[in-house]
Amino acid sequence: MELVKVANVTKKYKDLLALDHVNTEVNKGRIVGLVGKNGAGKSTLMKCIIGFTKCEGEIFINGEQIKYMEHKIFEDTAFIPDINSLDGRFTVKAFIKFFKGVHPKFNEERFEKLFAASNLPLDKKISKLSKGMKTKLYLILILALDVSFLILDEPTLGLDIVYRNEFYNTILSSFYNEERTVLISTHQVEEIEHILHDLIIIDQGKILTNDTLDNLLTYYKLITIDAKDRDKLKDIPHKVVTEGLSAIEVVVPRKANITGFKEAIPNLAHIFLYTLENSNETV
Amino acid sequence: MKQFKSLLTRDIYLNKWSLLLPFIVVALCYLLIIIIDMRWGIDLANINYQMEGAKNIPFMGLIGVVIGNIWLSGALLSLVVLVIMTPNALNDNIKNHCEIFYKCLPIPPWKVVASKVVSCMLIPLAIVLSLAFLNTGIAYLFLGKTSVISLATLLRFTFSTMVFSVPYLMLFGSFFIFLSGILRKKVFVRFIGVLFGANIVIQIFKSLSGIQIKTLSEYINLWLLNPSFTGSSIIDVDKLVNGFMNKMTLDSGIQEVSNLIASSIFSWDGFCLVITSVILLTGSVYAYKFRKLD
Repeated sequence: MELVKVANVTKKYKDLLALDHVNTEVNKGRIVGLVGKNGAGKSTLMKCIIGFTKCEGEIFINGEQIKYMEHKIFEDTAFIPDINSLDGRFTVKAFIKFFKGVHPKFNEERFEKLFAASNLPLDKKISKLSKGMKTKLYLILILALDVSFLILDEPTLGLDIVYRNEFYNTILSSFYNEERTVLISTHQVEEIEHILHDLIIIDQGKILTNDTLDNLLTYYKLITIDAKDRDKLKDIPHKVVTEGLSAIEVVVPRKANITGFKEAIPNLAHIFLYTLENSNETV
Repeated sequence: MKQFKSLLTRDIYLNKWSLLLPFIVVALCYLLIIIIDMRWGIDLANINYQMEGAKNIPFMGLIGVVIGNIWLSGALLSLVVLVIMTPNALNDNIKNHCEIFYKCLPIPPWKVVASKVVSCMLIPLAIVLSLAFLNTGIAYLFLGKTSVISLATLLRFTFSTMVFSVPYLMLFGSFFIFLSGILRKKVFVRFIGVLFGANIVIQIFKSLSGIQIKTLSEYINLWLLNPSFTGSSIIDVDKLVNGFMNKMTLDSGIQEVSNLIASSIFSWDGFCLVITSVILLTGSVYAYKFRKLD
């Protein structure tokens, strides 16, 4: 059942077409990755979904049409735009108190559990926290909300690999259940692969793919061929993902008529690269 | 209510130094008086003697102290409300790069504006009023022995002046809150810049063309004195002077003046000031709600 429906959405910034007649949906109870290159339109699409940007077309969440700058959407939706948007003037303690009071869906019990494991200093000012600590605090606050839809826009940008891993694992272990939907945008696809159910690939404001991960993995195969056999790929849509001196790794459609080579299951990054390269011939 | 309480607590927490400013200034004044007393000595008996000699002359002695106190209160209120707090009210999050965080919370914009009204206008007013009462009380304690004016009259005078200033405070406060909803930074400086700039342009135009027009400040002053455009000033000065003169004692004269000042705001003019501020505050709600994010 669909939670978000995006119908024919177009967004222009002066001469730049950020979203071009986008039609897509996000189903309930899924963890969905929204991936694309820098400037592909990920953030714009997310901002349109929560009503932060005016756009042509229609967007529905739970069957209700989204209005521009409507605060009510955040009663059941949480959005992490940028870790640095936390208010640095507060101490951690004062900020938690404020957040508790201001959000009607704050789950104190879950928060206490998450906070106890965090080792965050209560009396330190937020502006004095490290980026990793800020991320932890933001994430704990958001995960303590009983909302059914979580939107994350490049949430781990600028964080080191340890925090990035911890971040996504916490979402999976402390927030997600079948009643909840998560939409994550990133251009570091390999990091979210293990938690995703569905994948949306966007490029130049157009949706190239919106499918389940299980399906996508059956559409493609990764083959290793000798560099000298490259000519055999001439008539087949493909993407060379690794180029060695003697051998190359190539993503091709599973149904492609090319056999006799070592085959493997491609990862998400491979599928992403293939899709971008062959946007007109996506399976 | 819980949400509003949290917003208000936040605004007080983040503006605590601005709100403490009246206390700091008053404390510094007392410190100055104490230093002068310790270094050179203040002869209260002599001051009381002089006041006794001037007891039937208005605006002298204790009354002068109280007027000075009201002036100081007014200046503090203007500084805190008009220069520091309301011009920064709705764009403090922009300045601190956290606007998007607050926009991602399910807070109705009217609650945000209401919290600003309470924290940036009403609380400073309450603080300054209580300090004015305190100062009047202290002045009376030391200088009131020989005065023909009672403490109750002085407090009434202070209070009526504050009551009179409330709609003006609302007007200016809501005007700056509205501007802070539209402009992203430097609200007060920009406003003063535009006002002075416009005045200079009008003056130059006047001198070059010979056409008799008023400057923008003069038009604003005229409107502030008669917001309902009925043609008469918000305070009827003749009535005020006659009311004062018709009373037999200085004490009852000041009571009459206090009554006239406080009641003059409950008029068409006062109503127009309040309505204008309500319109500006409503505009602030929409300006805050629909302004673009960075």
